[in-house]
Amino acid sequence: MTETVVEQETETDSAVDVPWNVVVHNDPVTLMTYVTHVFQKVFGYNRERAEKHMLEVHDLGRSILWTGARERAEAYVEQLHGYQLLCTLEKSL
Amino acid sequence: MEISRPNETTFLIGRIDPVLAEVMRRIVPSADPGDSEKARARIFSPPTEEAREEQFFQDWQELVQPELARLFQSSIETVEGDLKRMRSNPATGEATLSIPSDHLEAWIHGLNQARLVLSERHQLHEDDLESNPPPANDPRSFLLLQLHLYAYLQELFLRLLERR
Repeated sequence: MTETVVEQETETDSAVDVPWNVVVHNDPVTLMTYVTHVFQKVFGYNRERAEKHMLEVHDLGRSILWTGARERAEAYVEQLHGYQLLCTLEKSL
Repeated sequence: MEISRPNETTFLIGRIDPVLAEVMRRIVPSADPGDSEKARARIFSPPTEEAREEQFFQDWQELVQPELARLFQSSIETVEGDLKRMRSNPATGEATLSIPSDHLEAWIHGLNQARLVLSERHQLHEDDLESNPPPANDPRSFLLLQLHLYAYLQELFLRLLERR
């Protein structure tokens, strides 16, 4: 499995502080090179790491790109939607 | 098709075949979802699959989607502006297109949107996209040509972006 960045939370344990996943889903139309480019741009990943996530999306249908605080996860989801990737926010179990 | 870089800020695509130039001129209308609900649903996909997140989804539709629509429109307008300046050689019919290097991202996004919208509007599947070249008797040949050319250009511009 691809390594996912998990942000350490030190604040209160209220509902909003439950970790949230930023998940990207497979889409057969979007080019793999484009997906890799977007992961590099949005998360600052190097090419190798971005490609690992891209291949996970391609092979497994989804990849968790980031896990952490809700507000930042929402911001990442918005950024990824700006690149028209299929991306959702989900509670980390 | 020939790619050159006459200066630091411009890429020049020359000797574009007349048919390919016509396919390129169709990027902008192809990227318009129009009245296709499926195409709109694809480029404005839901931000969560969690049923409990109804309020988040409503806020998203009210606040984020208009911003996304503006962002997408901005890319399309950039592509449209560059295409309006595409010139054809009257003798050969071949076209020349000049793209400022800071427009490459907009082109990559615009081409992506055109591919997504076309695929949804015409309900293409993964197998359709992998048949290159498309079967000669396929009535969707022009559509598949569009998708393949846009993919080629997207790959090309991603490589140019890396070199920028």
